[in-house]
Amino acid sequence: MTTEMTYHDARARALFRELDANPDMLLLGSSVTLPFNPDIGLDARYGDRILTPPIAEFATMSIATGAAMAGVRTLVPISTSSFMFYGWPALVQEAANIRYLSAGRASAPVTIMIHAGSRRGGGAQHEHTPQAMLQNVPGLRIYTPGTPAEIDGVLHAALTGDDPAVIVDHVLLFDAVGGVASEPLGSLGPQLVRAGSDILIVAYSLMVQRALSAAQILEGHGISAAVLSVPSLRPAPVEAVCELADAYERLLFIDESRAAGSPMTLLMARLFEHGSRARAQLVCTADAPAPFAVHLLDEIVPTVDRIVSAACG
Amino acid sequence: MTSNAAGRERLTLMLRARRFDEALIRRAELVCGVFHVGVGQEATAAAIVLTRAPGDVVMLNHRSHHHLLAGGADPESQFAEIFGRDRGPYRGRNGTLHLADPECGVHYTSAMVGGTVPLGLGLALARKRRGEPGIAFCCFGDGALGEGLLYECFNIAQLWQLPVVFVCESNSRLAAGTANSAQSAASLTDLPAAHRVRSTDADATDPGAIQHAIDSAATEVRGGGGPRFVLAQSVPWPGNSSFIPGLPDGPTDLERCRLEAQGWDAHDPILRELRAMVASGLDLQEVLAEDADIVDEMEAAAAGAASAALAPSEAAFENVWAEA
Repeated sequence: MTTEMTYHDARARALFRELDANPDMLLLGSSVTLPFNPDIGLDARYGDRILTPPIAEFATMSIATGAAMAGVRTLVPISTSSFMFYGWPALVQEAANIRYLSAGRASAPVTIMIHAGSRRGGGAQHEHTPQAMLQNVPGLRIYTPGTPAEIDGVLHAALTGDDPAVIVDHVLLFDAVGGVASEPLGSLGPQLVRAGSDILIVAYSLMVQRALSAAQILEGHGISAAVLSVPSLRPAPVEAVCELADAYERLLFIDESRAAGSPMTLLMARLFEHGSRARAQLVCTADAPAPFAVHLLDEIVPTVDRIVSAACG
Repeated sequence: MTSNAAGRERLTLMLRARRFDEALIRRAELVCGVFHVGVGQEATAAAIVLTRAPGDVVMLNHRSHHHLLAGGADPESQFAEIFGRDRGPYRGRNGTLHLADPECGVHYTSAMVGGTVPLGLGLALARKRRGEPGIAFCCFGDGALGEGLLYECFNIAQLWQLPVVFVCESNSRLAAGTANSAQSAASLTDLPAAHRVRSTDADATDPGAIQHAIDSAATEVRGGGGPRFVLAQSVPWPGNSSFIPGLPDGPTDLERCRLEAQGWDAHDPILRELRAMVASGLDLQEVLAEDADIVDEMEAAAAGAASAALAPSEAAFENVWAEA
């Protein structure tokens, strides 16, 4: 049975389900709800499972990694993504290497949840896209849900999988509505969220919703746009994207990261290696820090207008 | 155990660690890269080995050989790992920097300065949450106290009353007025004290003293009293280097325990233990015979590892992701 719900409700539902399924699981920090989300009743319902550390991301993310090594699954809601830079070594140096450096005898399936991208009004230090940097770390799963069904599936996969994971969440996704099945998605491979024949738009996270809005406008221009959502960036779903893209002569990749080393440039490069002769374009955030004023911010991020223009161009 | 029996056991553990590192230094050309040895710090390793109980974890760092060898690691497989050979426990992926030994309960060693300390806190947190026995010994050098991470760890371990023994293996020189040239604090024990983590300042060149300090701290932590900090202060060994250690005075000559201690010998935990035990009636010949066996064993292990097959290329790609 599929139920229509908001991304925010789907996330709360999935989080409660996973906490109920694993009574050992701990949250280190509770900012999965605050300051940007409405209170979902997490503290009231799971108070004894939430440890509130001091503002110390390095130790917090490392302790969560250590606990995960001992089999106590941990979820660290970091809130604004750039806060994780203080805890970078915990993820990049420790968690992601533990399986490799223990010859598979140990693993650290810690999950870090971040609000990435431009939340608007955050400015240069609060609107980062760490997924671009993190994709260079072998052993680390990167999840980038863009729909209610995907956040449902991603929370299940991250919180039951055996690898350390980062869930790249986005504050501007909370009101997105979509159908969510009673069981989490069985596969987190690329999801075709809108069918179309003229152009394939490949996107992840908030950019999926912007691509869907753009596709609707494009329909008015007589362009039939399909939208492919990529809810799991690492390991990169190269084969699946190539297979779907083969049917299109026009491809549009949308990425809220800056272009250099971004997840979508990797997929584009692999696509050409694969032999694609399609015309491909990349719409990404311009090479400038995020300005505070939203009219300036809209000059650099992939807006719906920019996606439409690229598709028409 | 009588103090003499305890000392005798420590002596064996320390000699195994020392002779391993000496055999390694003689084969430095077989190590691709820098390595660090625990010469002069073996008493701390032996103390932890003799204190740890089932369920405890020991978290090590880039300077780990002495802990692993005192802990019973197989020398040939450890040499093989350091030399990049296939029969090392990690097939050459870890080398000396990430040396560990699943047989000794050390699955993972971080070479980040201070890196394994919070992992140890996490392992301790897991035990505490599940009501399981076991404490974490988190070993780090004096240099780690330059990292902000350690202060976060003192704070959280005390706030959450985690069962952790912080073991600071300091091998720095004392500086005038401060703990060392990289510290503004007068003593390294002032640092945990700011977070009300109780400390012991112990002489790590005196095996009985450091054993007592580690034992007492572990007992208090097991009793639920929250974390403790042990400063295990040794005296820098002249063979240490930031890159490749050497043997400026040759391998350790146990016969020197008969002489009045001079220079660094006065701070060598092995010679100190031996000198004290011989003075109280230990038969030196018996120790010399055991030592000769250990030297032979380490030489044979190093030679065996050096002639073992290199790890094949597929070893580089294993265990990156969980199996789907």
